[in-house]
Amino acid sequence: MSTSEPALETLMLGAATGDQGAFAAVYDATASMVYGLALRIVRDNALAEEVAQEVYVQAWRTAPRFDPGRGSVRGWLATMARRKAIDVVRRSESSRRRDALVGSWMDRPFDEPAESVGRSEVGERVRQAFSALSDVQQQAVALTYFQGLTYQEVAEATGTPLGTVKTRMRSALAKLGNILVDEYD
Amino acid sequence: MTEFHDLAAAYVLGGLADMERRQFEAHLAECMTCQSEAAGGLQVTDALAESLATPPPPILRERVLDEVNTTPQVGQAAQSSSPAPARKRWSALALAAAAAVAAIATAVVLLSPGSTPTDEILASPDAVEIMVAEPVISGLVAVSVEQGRLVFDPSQLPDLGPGETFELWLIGPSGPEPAGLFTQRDAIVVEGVEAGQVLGLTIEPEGGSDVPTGEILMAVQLPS
Repeated sequence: MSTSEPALETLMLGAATGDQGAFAAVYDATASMVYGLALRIVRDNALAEEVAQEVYVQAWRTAPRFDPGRGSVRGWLATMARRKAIDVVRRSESSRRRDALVGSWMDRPFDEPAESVGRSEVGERVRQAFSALSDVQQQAVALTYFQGLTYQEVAEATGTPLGTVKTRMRSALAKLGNILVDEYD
Repeated sequence: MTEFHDLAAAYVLGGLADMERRQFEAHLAECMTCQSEAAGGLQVTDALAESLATPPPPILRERVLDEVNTTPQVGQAAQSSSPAPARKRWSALALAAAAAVAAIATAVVLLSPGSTPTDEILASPDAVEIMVAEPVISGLVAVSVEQGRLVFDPSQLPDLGPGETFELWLIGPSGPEPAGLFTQRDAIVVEGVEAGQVLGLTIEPEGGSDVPTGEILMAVQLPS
C-alpha cells in the first residue's frame, strides 16, 4: 500500500514484458484495495475473491496494453474491480428491483460488508469525509460508484431532475476532495 | 459542446452510459477545465477505493499467480509456441470465406491474420469472458460493451445439415436482430453490441433468416 505510483508503473511495465515477479509485486501492493473494493460491492467473501482473481488475470493478460499516460495502475485495477463486481451483483440480482437497491442504500449510507473493513486510518478519514456529505450527495456517489448506475438512472430511481443529480455529484466530489486529498497524499 | 462541462464528476464516478462516456472522453482531450476537474475527482475515487482496503486471504495470491503462470499475455504467442495454428486457421477460414463472405452480414468481421480481436476486447477494463456450456454448444464469449463488440469462439457445435447455417442474434428490448452467419468452427466478431443484450444462436436455412426460425441453441446474457 505504501508502494508509490511511479514504482507501481515500473513494476507494471516489467509485468508487461512477462516478468511474473514484477506482477507479484503489483499484486502485493494493490490486492487489499482490489479485494476490499470488490467486497464492498458484492458483499460476499467468496465472490470478492473471484472478482479479484479475474481482475488480476485480466491485468496480467493485458499488461502489454497498459498505458501509464491514460491513468494510474491503481485507477486501472480499481476500474476493472468495480466493473466486474457490479456486473456480478447485477447478474445475481437481476430479478431484484432497482428501487430495492436504492431503498437498502438509503438505510445504510456508508455501511460496511463486515467488521473487517475500515479499520485503517484512511478508511476512518474517508468515512468521516463521507459523513460530512448530505444524504442526497452520499446517495449520488454511492449509486454510481458502488452500484454502477448512470446519472440518468440515478435521476430516474430517485425522482430527481438530471441537472440536480449532476450538481450533487460535482459538489460531493469537491467536498470529499477538500477533506481527503491533501491528507491522502 | 458546453453541455459536457458538467459531466466530469459523473464520468469520474463511472456514471456515464457508454456512448456519453466516449463523447465526454473526446471532449476531455480538448478541455483543460474538465481535465483538471476529472484529475481532482480521480484522486478522490482513488482515496475512496484505498479506504476500503481489506487484506484478501493469502490463498488468493497463490491462485492468482498460478493462473498467471499459465496465462499468455496479449500480443504473445499462445502456449503452443508454434505460430502455425493461427496461420492455418486463417487459411482454412480464407477458403471458407472466399465462398461465403458475400453472404455474411456486415455485422460480422472475420478475424484477420495476426490480429487478435479477443485480446483487443479483453484489453478493455469492462471486458468479460463468458463460458458457454450448453448441451450441444460450448465455447467462449469475450465481450466489451464499451467497445460495442464481442468475439464468439466456439469449441463445440452441432453438425449442420445440407443447406443450413448458424445464425447469431443480438436480442434486445425490440427483439432479435440478425448478428451474423457462420458455418465453420472459427472465432467470429460481432459488432454493434449493446449493454444488456442476449447473444443467441440458431440454425437457419442457408442465407440466414430475418427472425429466428430454428430452436434457440444458446442464449448468453451480456453484461449490462
